[in-house]
Amino acid sequence: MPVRRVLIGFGSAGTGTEDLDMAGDLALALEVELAGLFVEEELLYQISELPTSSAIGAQGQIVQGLDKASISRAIAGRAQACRRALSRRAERGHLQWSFEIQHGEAASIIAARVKDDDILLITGTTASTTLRAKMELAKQMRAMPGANLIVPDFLRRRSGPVVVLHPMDHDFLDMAARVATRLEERLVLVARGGEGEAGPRLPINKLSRVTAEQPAQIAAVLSSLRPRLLVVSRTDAVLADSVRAGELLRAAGAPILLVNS
Amino acid sequence: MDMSNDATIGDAGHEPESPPPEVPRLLPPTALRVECDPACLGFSTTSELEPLSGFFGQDRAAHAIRFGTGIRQPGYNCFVLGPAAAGGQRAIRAFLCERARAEPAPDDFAYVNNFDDSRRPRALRLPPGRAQLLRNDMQELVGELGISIPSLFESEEYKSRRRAVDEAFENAQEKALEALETKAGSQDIAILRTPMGFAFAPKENGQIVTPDDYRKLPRDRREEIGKKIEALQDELRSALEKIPQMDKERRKQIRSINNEMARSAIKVAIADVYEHFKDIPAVTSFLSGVEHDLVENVELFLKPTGTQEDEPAASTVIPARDTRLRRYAVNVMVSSGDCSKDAPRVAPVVHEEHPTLANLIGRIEHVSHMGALLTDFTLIQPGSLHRANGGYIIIDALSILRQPFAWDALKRALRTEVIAVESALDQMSLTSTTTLEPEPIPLSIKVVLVGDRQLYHLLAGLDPDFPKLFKVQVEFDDETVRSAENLALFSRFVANVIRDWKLRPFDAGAVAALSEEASRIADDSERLSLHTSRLADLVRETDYWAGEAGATTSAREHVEKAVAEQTRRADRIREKAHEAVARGIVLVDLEGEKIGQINGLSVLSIGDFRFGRPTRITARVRMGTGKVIDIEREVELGGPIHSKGVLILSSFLATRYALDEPISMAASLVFEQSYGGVEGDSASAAELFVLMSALSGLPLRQSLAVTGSINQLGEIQAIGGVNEKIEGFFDVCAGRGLNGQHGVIIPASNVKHLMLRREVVKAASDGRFRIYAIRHVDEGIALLARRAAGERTCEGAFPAGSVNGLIEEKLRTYAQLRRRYVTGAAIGKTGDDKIDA
Repeated sequence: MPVRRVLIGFGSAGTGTEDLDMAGDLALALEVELAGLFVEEELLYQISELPTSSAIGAQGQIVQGLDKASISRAIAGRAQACRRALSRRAERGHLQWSFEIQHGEAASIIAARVKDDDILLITGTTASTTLRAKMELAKQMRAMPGANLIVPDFLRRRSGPVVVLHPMDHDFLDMAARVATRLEERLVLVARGGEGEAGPRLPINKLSRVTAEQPAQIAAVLSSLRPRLLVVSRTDAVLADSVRAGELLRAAGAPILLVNS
Repeated sequence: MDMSNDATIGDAGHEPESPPPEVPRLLPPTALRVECDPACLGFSTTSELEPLSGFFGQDRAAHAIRFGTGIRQPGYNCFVLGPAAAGGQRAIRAFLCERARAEPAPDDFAYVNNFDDSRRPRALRLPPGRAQLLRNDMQELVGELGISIPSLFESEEYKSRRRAVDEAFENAQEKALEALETKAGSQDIAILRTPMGFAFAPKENGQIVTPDDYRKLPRDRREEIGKKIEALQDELRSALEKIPQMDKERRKQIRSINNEMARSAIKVAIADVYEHFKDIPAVTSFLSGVEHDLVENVELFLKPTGTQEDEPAASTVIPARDTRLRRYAVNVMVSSGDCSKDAPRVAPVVHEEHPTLANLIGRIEHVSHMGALLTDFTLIQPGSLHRANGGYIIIDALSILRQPFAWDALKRALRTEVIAVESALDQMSLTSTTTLEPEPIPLSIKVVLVGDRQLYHLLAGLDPDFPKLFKVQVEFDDETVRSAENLALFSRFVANVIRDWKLRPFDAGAVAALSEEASRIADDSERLSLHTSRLADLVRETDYWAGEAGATTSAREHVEKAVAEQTRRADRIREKAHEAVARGIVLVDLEGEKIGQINGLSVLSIGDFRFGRPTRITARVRMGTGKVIDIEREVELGGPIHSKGVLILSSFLATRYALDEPISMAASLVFEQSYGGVEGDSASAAELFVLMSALSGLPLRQSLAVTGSINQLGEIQAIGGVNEKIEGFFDVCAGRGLNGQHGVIIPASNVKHLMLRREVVKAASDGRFRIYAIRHVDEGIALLARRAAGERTCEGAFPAGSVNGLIEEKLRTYAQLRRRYVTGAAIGKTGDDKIDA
């Protein structure tokens, strides 16, 4: 399961500094390119033409004049800010980087650009607001063929183990091991009872195993482990249901890396 | 002539005649130099001598300094004065050190942060040696907390408590948004995040309505959507407005957890420090402040995260490098060392060589940060007053007066008995940067100022604070009696210098030679100079020349060599002056006899080096109104004392001769080829002799030079620099060849001052050079004119043909001439009756 780049999809609403840091850490861990894809969301241009257009600022204030021109200016500014943030992060880690701006609908644009050997991270600053909405987006992305995906969480931890849920594939275990080593964290494998002793082929000092069967058990384990990153196969059954996936995400309180396996 | 003049003449006429003149005394060679017999010193070399403790020949000063340092009342500081005081500083320092050894070490002082007002650091007073312990303890405390606190925030206990708070906040936030989104969804309204905030848009069949579709909607439907969006906006605004409050509450809860967790760790860590200093209430009070501040600022021990301040990053900081943790440092201003060690602790003795304001009372340093100058209590630097607090400080008076603000600061510190660190720039309001007002430190000190007498008297006269603050005058004598006891002390002083500077020992002959030089410096054969610094220089230089000669012990010849070399190094001007005489550029007759011409002697000083040289003095007389013109005075080259001498000799002449006639001469006196100033009255005797020669018409011997001052009675008085003057004339005569007639006439009262060079003494022994001592003007004129001066007989007249007789005769002649002249002028006669004087 070779990875060529970590692709971070920027929505129009923010730079997603926290998510960018995580993407940078991953790119550094895997020694791959850090790529940015900024989508000027068509949806925002649409709503600017609606007569109901006005916004509520983050502090609760009413922002008038949500017209097409001001939206356009704001989005262009945001794109530049995202580019600067990505370049700074990449240069700090001496990473190769690229940045691209596209116009259209976020999910479809990203789906079109992402490749099998990418790790895709969609920032928490797309037009979708809530966790549930984000999970909907994740569901769409999960349906896309081939890509690895990171679903970020609101809170980013600075320490905690890299947890692999239901380890089956050596490639993806190896990738998780590399990330854990790079981040100087331990690797925890959460396995079902009959899954045997599968482990990474790469040597790793801090490795432990935990057994959990039911989704509730898994959620409890994840909550106690307080992972820095959760790595799950995108075909894992626990993600089949978006509600269940949401609960899992909440329990982990960490970004989830969905990998093809 | 009025009555008052008559009375004056009459009074003068009845004055008793001066004491009968004695025969001029040709001084024997033994009177020209007092030599010290090495055998009398009682030792072979200085290695046998005990070190000299205390003051050599300075009993008054020693008594004063003992009193000044012993009395413990304010204002009894000492001012050490006198030219010898500079050399005596070593003895004063030694005395103070000796005294300090018997006194207890003073308390330590340290500045610590004032947690209530960091601009006013607190001064802590601790028993001797404890300040360093407190500093070390605080460093250890901070170091320990730098490890334990981050570990604490890494613990599972902390993380789970913290997570619970975070999750509660996130859930509440999430729920609020989700609830609103659900409600909006049920009304077919979508909530979208835009770069400008949250926006609302109508949906149909789960999709955002396009602008075209929206315009196609019925009016009432659009109005309905508008109202729904408006209501939802209100709800969202209300929800968002609560978020900062919720976040504030979250931070408060986290802070509370942080403090609670930290408090226990801090309490454990600081307990040892409390235990060490439980006997010092000021320190326990400080520690209480530290404990409280540590709890309130626990995040200082966690690496800056760039995130919210209440979110500690569980990484270890390095306290020693973290400037934020300096608030817990202890800035030891003065300490008597580490009390856990056995080093002796005594009162301090500080010698401040450069008493600037900052060096004296300390300073507040600043560091540049982002272009601004910042400071804190750790940048307060102690001054010498801090270091000497509880002991003694020696300061050069002139140095401190030269430094702006330093003298006032010292007086203020002594008056208020506290040291307040302040900056000169602040005093002048020249800086506006942030600075501190440290709590003043109590001051208990003895200040010993060292200066010259003039400075002392100027300060006493001009500075009203000075007598109140420096009540003890420690005056150093310049010389002491050359007694056997003092010679023994002198020898031990030499031994001290040798020991201190690790020089070769002096044998007794060298010490004897040095004592002779000490008498020479004192200008008195019966005294020893106490200019110890100058004598110490000579000891060191003697050692050098002994070394050059390959000797293991310094001997008399090495002392003489050192003296000769000192002279040689400094005598360029003397050489030129004597050369000018030898080459006939400066006219000085050394043979024959001349009327109205005499060799006077003067002394030139260049730094410490002095030398004498002859100067021709001439006088001319004629009939006149009794005025003696001092040409030096007329051209403002003569000083007031010189003029006084001329007036005295005028008075002597007027009251000695022809008392029944008005004095009717006009005389002029001049120092030939003198182009600089003339001051002093040591030439007044020579001026009188030359005037007497001019009046009597008797020539004076040019092979003799004269020095001495006179009074109105004709007595010859002592003058200064007698040795240099004699030697100056000797050198000039020796340059032309001594013929046995050359010599110098000096006042008899100067004989005791004679410490002439050995070659002069040798010439006198051989009869090639003569030194006469006289007491009265008649002795001198008889010697110079080779004729008896003459005493008034019982008839009231001087013998005919005697010097005085000739003078009186000439003055009477002038008086008669003057009468004739005045009478002639009164009846209108013209120039054909004028008389040539």
